[in-house]
Amino acid sequence: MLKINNLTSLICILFISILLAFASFTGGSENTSEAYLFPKLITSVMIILSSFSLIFYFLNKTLSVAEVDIKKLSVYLVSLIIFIFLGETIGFYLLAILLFFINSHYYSENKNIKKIIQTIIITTIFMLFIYFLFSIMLKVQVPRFFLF
Amino acid sequence: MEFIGYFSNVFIFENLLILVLGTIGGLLMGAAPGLSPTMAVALLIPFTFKMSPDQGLIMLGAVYTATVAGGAISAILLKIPGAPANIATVMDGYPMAKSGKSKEALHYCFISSFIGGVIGIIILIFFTPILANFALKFGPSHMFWIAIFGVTVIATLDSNSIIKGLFSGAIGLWLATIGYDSVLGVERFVFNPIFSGGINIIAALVGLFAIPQVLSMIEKKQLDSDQFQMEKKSIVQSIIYNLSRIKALVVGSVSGVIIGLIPGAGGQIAGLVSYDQIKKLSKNKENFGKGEPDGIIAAESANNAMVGPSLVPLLTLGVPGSPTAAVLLGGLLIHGMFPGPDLFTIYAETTWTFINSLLVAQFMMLIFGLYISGLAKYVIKTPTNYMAAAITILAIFGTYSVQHNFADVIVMLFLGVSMFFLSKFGFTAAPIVLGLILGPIAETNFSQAKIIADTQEGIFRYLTSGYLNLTIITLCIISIVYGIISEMKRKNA
Repeated sequence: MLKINNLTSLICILFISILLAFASFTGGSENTSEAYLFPKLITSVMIILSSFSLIFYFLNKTLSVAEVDIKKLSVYLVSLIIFIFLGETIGFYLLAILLFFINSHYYSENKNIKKIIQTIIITTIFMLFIYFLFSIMLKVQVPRFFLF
Repeated sequence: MEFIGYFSNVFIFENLLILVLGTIGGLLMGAAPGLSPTMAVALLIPFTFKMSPDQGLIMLGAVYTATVAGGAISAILLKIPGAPANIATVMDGYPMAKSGKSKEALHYCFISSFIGGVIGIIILIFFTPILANFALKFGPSHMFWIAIFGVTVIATLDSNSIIKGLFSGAIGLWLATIGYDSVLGVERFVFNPIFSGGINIIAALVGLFAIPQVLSMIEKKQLDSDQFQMEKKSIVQSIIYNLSRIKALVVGSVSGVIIGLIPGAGGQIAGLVSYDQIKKLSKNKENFGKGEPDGIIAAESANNAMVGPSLVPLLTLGVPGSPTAAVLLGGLLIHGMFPGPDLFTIYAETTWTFINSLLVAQFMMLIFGLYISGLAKYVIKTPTNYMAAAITILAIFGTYSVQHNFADVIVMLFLGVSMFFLSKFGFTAAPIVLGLILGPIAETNFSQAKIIADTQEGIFRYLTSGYLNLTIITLCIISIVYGIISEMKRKNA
């Protein structure tokens, strides 16, 4: 279980605001500085708001902790990362089949043979629906690997 | 009465088919716990990209209407509101289902949703052109403030913390500056060539609304809880009873219309306010929370009566009346339609076809809703693991299909996962999305205002002079002050 308190999150937000403000205030040359006027305005507001958040935190001192069950989410998050890195190389359909099956199976309550067969059938039907919708009806050319 | 001339467009075979599919799909999506109207509309936007503007908007409108009503199915049968708009429906809907009256409760829900919905669309038909003509008076400075108003309103109403809401809006506005500047053509914040076109609105919409929901589904592991036997109940009897509850219908519809017209308010506020009002006005106060039909009738007529009026500020000023309307704004923009008077002149045919289709969608929602009530138990039993995987695949393929650009998929997934973590600290997606949508409008008008102001008395004076500027600035301040007061009340409660 990942625990993050609100003070850490507020510091992160202030840091992001300063980073974006730095990019906005140092971006562009003398001739193009006009184009950065609006981002400068926005990031200034962001710094003010995040500073206010911190000030209010220290005034109220209400520490709250947000819990993220990283262990439970890990399989889903890893499958998204794999999709990002291999999506174009391995192809959408093959990876989508794996993503659907692995996640459906991993997050299923029962993992017996009957359930696995059910998941395989549902994965097949759903992916056929996706193929029909995107490749046949909408004519979307997604990255593919051999047949998939 | 211009709208009557465009009614025949709705009944063209393809449009009618889209309307029917959108309504049935919307009812089923609404019934599925976790699939909110905002998420359903966001997921569908990539599909409408390939359709004509008429068909795309008909689809989105039908889904918007039907998901709000369909959300009551899981609220009544599972005690899980299908959408935030159905929170109030749970209070009496679930006790009715527990006492063996689930079908009766579902009948009341769809009949009252229909009545409220029709009233809301009539308001939309008659109010919108008047307000759109007024929008003709708006110049760059007014449009800049309107965009800022849109962000402040949604930031104050869709978030528990005013500062976090405004910060989210500011993130959206900054994200919108990535890519080429619209006035000077300068490339900004393009750390990688894939971002030179800026952040794609559809990728952001799908990512910010769909992925955090999936992660939260997996984390909470929402499972089907109690299942009830559905008893037989005559639709005619339900209609007669429903029509006899005039007080609940009036309270629900009027509250829904008023709240819908307030930019940013949304269905959950409409449902809860009307529930509270009917409870105060009822002679049977003690029955509320134990299965009182008036509670369902008021809440459901309110959340559907809100749909039409929530589109009035959206179609005229570009200020959405609800988070779903904010997503719908993205749907309008991808078809090159910008809110304002042009919608009723240049795009009159598309706009009126869309509005008329919303009216027809109410009838469809009633017919299919009443019949789908019996099948709903199968939809709500869809296990979370399949639902989560299906939403993810749809989000990936849908996002890619818009520009055939893999970078959009990366942006969608990155924003989605980031939003999940941000939501843990009280940040919400709607202000970011609205900032992203209204960012180019705010910046272009700000730049134009600066060019004009440089020849006159300076930008500050130009942006703050004139009664229209001052009125909109006052509205921005009111919305922020309202947010602060609400937050203080919540903390003291």
